[in-house]
Amino acid sequence: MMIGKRLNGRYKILRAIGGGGMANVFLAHDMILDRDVAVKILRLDYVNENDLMKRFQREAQSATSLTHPNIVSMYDVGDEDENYYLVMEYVEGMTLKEYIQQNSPVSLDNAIKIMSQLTSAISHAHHNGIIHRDIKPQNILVDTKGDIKITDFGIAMALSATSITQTNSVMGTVHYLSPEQARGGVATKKSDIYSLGIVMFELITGRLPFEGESAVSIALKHLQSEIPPPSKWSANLPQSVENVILKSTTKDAFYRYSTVDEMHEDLKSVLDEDRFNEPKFMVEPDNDATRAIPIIKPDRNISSKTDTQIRTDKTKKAIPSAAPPEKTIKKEKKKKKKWPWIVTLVLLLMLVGTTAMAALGMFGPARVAVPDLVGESLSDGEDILEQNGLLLGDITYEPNEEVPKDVILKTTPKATRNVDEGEPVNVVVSSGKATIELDDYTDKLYEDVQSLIQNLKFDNVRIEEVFDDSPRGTIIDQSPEAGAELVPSETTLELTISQGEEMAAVENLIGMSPQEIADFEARTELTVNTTREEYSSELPEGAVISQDPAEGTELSLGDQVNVVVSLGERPLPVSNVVVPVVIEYLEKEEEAPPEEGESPPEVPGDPVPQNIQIFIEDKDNDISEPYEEFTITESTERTIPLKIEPGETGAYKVLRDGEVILENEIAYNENQ
Amino acid sequence: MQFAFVSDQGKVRRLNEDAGGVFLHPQGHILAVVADGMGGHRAGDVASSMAVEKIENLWMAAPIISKPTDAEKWLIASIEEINHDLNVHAAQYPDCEGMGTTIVVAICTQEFVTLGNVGDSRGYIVAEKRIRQVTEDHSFVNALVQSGEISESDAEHHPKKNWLLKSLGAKGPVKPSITTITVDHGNIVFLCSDGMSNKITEQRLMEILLDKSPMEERARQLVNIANENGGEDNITIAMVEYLPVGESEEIK
Repeated sequence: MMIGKRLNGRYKILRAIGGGGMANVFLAHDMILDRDVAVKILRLDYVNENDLMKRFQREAQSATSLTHPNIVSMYDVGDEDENYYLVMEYVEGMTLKEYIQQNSPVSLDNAIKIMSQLTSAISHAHHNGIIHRDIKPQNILVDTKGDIKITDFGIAMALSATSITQTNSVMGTVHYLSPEQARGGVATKKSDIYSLGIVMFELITGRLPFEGESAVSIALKHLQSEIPPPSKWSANLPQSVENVILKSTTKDAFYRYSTVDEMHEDLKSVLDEDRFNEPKFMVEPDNDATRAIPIIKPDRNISSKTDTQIRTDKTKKAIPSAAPPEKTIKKEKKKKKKWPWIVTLVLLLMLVGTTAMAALGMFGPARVAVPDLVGESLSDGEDILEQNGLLLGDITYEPNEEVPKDVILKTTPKATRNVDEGEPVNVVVSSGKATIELDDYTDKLYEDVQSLIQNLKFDNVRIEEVFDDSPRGTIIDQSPEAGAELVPSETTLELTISQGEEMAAVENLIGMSPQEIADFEARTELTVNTTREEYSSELPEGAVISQDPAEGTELSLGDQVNVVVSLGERPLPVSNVVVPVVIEYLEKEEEAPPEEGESPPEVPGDPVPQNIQIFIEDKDNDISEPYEEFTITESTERTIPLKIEPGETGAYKVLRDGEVILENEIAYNENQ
Repeated sequence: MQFAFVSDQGKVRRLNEDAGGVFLHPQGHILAVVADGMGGHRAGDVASSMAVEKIENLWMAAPIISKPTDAEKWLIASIEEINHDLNVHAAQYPDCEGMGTTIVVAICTQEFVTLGNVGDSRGYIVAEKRIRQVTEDHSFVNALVQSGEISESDAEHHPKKNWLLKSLGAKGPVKPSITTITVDHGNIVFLCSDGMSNKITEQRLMEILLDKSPMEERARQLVNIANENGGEDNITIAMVEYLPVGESEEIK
């Protein structure tokens, strides 16, 4: 049903590539950046989406800050309808789980190469304060070149932050879960180290350290039993390689590598032949005896200090024992000379006598309840621990929106739990409200960084739009400046965004009168240019007939709009009338009456010329003035041209010797 | 006996994936049930309501139950049948793939109560001014508590608290935990989803259950408490009260 859908118009879902539980993973195409991406879609049915999204995004966003060749890049976090999604780099290949199944046993060289990449990636995350919490081969991808990429960074945290995990679900895998996580403690960097160790175990042996009928029995084995030596399944495994696994998977996080960097360093030389037969890594099985030292107080302060010394000397591969010599003889060797005081203590113990020894053996070290440190400052907390004969263990800082900086949020073990005296108590301390280093948003398009900015959840984002010659939507200025360290929820981010050059929209000018055009010019700061005038039967004189560009076009200020203006109704043409007339010559008989017989008529005598005057009334002539004057001696044909204007009447008259012989009026006829 | 049933969506979730009810058999026994559905794709409500509907139908047609072994056998068979139905349904409708539900059922007769459960919905009994959880949570954290690895209070805040070891709708046969207890006048059988049990101490729960106010009112009060404490999950409760000696024994 998701296939073919476009998320926020940008990510086109192509096909499913995995999923289950609360999330489905799809291959999608990013239509904007034209690349394939993996989109992880979570289905969450919560009412208070804003709050949920805020927390989800904050966690997911922290993971997007990771850039490492062996970490799947997180590109985007978003939501549409009820789908919350993460957009990630698409890695073609398979999961490490599938890789192990297909290639088991993985060659030693290859296994170490994979582990080096894994530790390098996790180290990068840890340096950025991000703990994966859920490292397992199902979350590790192997690309077509055989390089690995870890995915789902911080998702575990993001999901728990959304309290989504409060809903019931079927069991997840417990094979890679560190003992402290199985117990419900805070996942630390060392928890990731444990999971890495189990992944390495699986790479090298092709199997998991513990098998059991149920998830619970496996989890219990992780809590109770030592990891079996991988050499049991992988003959000729160099001791140096086995040691990496053993050291990263000790029950007690204290004995593990203190950092992933250390593990990464160790892996570098693990295939050197001179390390192949190094001594097997051991955690003293009865290190309780060491911790029991405080019981034999004469001076409690001194003994607890000594204990501190031991616990903080993390370069030691193993902790020496103060237990009865016969139990530890084989492992002590060189270490004893480094700890001469132990001999003294052992002697002291012996002096106390065998009964006391037995008692100690039976009852073990003193047990003290972990005090409630939540709400105490870190330094007070440390004092309280010391007063109770306990030590401050790992300190993890965690941003917290409510609890002030340096106040203890949580301890592991929790208050009231009984622990051995001298045990370290790990604390999670508030680092105050999470601060961020503000990015430089200038010169970026607002729409490109909008989701990033939204994800940071500023108290307020104020946007001012100004006209500028940079492209529309470009962020021109920001306040606070880039690089500022701040708490987003307490910050108002001010952005100045370009609206592009100031534009004015061309209106519909057609029909506008000269006055209206002038108003338009004043209003928009556009110039209206009359390119032509035309007659129009529809629009009155002066009104705009047509415009270029069309209505709605955005123009920069000062630009011209060309218009054609009406001249009004087209005037009718002057009618040119040509009137043919025959001007008759009048024979004057009475003037020369021929006498009968007497004198014959004087024929042919010269005819008497007659005077002709033509008067015209038309556009150019007035009837009161003769248009033409001439004489005739015989009947003559003439044409009288008349130019008659519309609505007017033309007229002419012809006078012969002062007497009107022709007269006519001709009405305007446009067809003539 | 008198009974009450309330199901509330809570304050955070968009959907009530819980279901349940109290059903009176023609012969007079009462069956109370609460189911808490799960499944990422909106099928949780399908699973829980299917389970409740199914058990209601089976119950109304059930032969008269006179002894605990009858009740236990009937309950095991019915729960297995629901599990089978859910599997068949999920196989037919891809949207329902992976759906599941918890269930807790109590068959209440005048002499005894037989409870069966799968998952972490709970059954309690209040008797002699004491409250006791009579069902066993099939959850990862409970298994760790049972093994002695973590304390009860650790379990309360465990990040994997939601991991269920068993649920109806999971592939393969499912084995419910079954217990029978005897009951007496004044006892209260109380079933609820984790949206309720996560939000109240047993002590407080008992105080409210033993209150003299009408049953519906007590039920409503409990739901309010869960909501006041966050109401992150759906809240469903079903309760059956055996009237104290002297009061009418007819079913209200």
